[in-house]
Amino acid sequence: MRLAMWIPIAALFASLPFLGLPKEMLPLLILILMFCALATSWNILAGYAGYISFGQAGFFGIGAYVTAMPLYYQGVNPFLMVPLAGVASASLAFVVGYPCLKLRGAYFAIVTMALAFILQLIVWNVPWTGGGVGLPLPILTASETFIEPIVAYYLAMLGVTLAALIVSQAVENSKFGYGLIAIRESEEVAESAGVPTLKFKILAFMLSTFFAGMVGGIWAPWVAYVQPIGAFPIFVSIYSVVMSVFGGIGTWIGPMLGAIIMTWLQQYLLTNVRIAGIDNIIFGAILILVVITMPNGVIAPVRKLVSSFGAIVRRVGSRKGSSD
Amino acid sequence: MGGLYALLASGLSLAWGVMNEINIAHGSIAILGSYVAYWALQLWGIDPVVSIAISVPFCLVLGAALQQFVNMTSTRIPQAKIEFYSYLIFFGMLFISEGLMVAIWGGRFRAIRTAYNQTSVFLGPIALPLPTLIGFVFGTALTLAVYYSLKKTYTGMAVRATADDREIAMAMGINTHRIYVYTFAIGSGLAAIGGMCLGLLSIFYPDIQFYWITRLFAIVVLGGMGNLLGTYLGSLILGVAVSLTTVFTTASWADVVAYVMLIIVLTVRPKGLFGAR
Repeated sequence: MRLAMWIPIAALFASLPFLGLPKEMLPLLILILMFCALATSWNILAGYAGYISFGQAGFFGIGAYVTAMPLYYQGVNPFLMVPLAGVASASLAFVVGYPCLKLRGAYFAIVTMALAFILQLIVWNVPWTGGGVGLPLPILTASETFIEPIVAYYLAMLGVTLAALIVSQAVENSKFGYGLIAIRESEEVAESAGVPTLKFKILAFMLSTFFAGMVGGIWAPWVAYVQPIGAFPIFVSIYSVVMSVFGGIGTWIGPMLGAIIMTWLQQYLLTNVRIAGIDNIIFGAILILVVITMPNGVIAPVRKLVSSFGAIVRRVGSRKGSSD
Repeated sequence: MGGLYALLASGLSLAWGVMNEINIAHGSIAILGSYVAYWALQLWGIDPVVSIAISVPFCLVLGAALQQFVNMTSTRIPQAKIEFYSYLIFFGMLFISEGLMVAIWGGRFRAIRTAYNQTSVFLGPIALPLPTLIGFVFGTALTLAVYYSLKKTYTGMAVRATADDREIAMAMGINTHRIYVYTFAIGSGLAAIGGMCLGLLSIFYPDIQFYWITRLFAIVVLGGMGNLLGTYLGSLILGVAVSLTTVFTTASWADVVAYVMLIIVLTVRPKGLFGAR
């Protein structure tokens, strides 16, 4: 039933490039979708289970290299590798999950941050990943992607983003999600109430990194160049956090909202205000403002507005009903 | 190197241990110290070591102002949530300061060039680069000074009491908010000196703070948060580990060692090597 509402949304967005949307809009849309997926997937672990990860960039980078290396060496179609990119990231999350998820709060944040750095440095030091120079990837042509490459990237990113949103929404309303929220509120109580905390945490970590890996996997052939600094961008980790907090963590819709608004704002600032660093200044100010005035993100007042509007509609409706 | 690490890490360690605040903007303040030293030399020809007379008061006031801001805005935040809350606030500040530095000074690599940058002091057969020595002397002296003032002075005792139990310290008549401001300001002042030494040793640019802050977190976790002596020892351990890996392999593996060390320590002894179990 809930799944059904996604079909028209998916159809609408998928048909956008064929309905005469200017091609110049697509890179912006891909970027928005990319951060949507990253923030949403970050939120699965951080928002529900309360484990703030700063390693999203690490898993993004793994995904990027998993598609980039076969493309560079063997010319493998990157779109075939995208699911594998997600699986690779999730497998790593499974391996490191057990020691890392024993740590809480700031310790977990720091250990994930260090993890992203370690992955970046390993890629830097290993020769067959291209080292510090990186791998220049061949630019795909329409014959390889069946449609125009930029449209293909858009559709792929859209697919991953929608999948992340659907999964996030499903998690929020499932026993698994309630278990995660119980872990966030109090891990000891959750454990004693019979929630398999470790299993749930690792599963949430894997889900959250799975999508990050896939996003990275699409991103790499799109920019056609992978390099340790570019493929493990610290801003991916940071923006996932900032956008989710801005939108409202712990809700599936909040990170999406934050990603849309902030990505658009950033691109607007970068193109229209010609001062380097202006986007970071504004981002910082917005973050502080939101954290102080709306600790639950901008989604909270929006929800209040919607629910009070709904109440008014219902009241008007019931008055009509009673007068009849 | 270890002394310099200690200089940079003690402020972070203090803020975390005393106030339960994770000051991710700490690296920003240090880089600000580097920039002040750089411009003091470029514009007025002031020696970097003398320029801390400008940067330290500046960063002290800045740190106090930041903490005052957090104090004022966090009154409604429950104590258990202060960690994440302060994290986000400092994150916002990091963004602002990073953006400002890029906007004003640009993202170019810079280095402080003085006459003694490349000189070394010889202790028997061991050659010590002078900038490293300056960092070590400042780091050791100041960390010890702060450590003993925490132990001996009245304010230091108040700081420790606040770290132990904020509510009881308040009940004892300690103005914990003021203690927070003091602690934060001192940490920022140390970071300013650390930043100056950093500028002498290596290149810097606004984004390098991300690289430093992770190393600093590694040190603080290694030594146990709030434990200054532990932080100092942690700095020395990390400094030695990084130097050894640089000697045996290449410099680019050194950070891998640092971070792997961090993860191992975190998973085995989350309270730090020297912390209570």
